[in-house]
Amino acid sequence: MLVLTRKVEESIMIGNDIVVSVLEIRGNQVKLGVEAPRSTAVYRSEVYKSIMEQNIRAAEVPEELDRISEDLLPRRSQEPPSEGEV
Amino acid sequence: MPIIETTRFGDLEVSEKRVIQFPDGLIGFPQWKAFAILEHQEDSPLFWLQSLDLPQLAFLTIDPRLIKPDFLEALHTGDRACLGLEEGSTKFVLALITIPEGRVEEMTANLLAPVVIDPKSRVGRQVILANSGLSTQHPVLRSRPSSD
Repeated sequence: MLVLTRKVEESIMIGNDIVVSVLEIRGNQVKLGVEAPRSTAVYRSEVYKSIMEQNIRAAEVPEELDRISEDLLPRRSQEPPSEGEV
Repeated sequence: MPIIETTRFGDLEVSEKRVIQFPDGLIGFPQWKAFAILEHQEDSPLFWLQSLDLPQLAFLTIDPRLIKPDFLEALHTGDRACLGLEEGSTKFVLALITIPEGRVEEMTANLLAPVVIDPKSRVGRQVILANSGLSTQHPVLRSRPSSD
C-alpha cells in the first residue's frame, strides 16, 4: 500500500485521469472528492466486499432446482449471444 | 470443439465462438475468466453462466430489465457509461441470482453489480453501478414486493 499524507485541499493523482482531493476533515471523518472519467466506477470499499460476498452466495446453487413456477417469472426478452450473432 | 465437463449439465461441447472471456473475471474472483451461457429451459428467462475453468461453478442469471422494467432508464449517466451502453451497441445484461438456502421462491438478483456481455467481441465484465442505490438482493419472483 502506498501511504501519502495530505492536508485539507491537497490531492493525489492516480494514473493520468484520476484525482483524489481531501475536501474537509471533521473529527475522524474525511470528505474526499474524486475526479475520474465517467466510465471509471468509484465506490466505497465495503460495496466491493459485499458484492464479492454476494457472488459467493450466488455460486451456491442447489444441485436440484425444483421446477420454478414459470408463471411467477417474467417472460424472456433477449436471446443469448449465440454463434456468429451480431 | 472443446468438451467441457460440468457438474450440472454433464459434458458439454462448447465451440470457441460461444466462449465469453472475462478479462477481469468476476468481482473478488479475477481468476474465473472463461464462461459460456446456457439456457435453463426453453423459453425460460433464466440463463446459466457456466464457468469453463471450474466444472462445478455455474451461476443462475436473469436480465435485470425483467424484474425492474426501468432498470436502464433509472441509471445515473456514470453508471450507464459503465455498462457501455452509450456506444450505441447492444449489450447482453445479466444479474446473478442467489437462492437463499435452497428456497427457490426467495431467489434474489444482484442488480447493483450485473454482468455485461458484448455479443460481438464476446467479452464480459461484472460492473458496479455505484450511483444506482440498487440492491445486491433484489427479489426476483413477481409475487414478492420490491424490498428497495
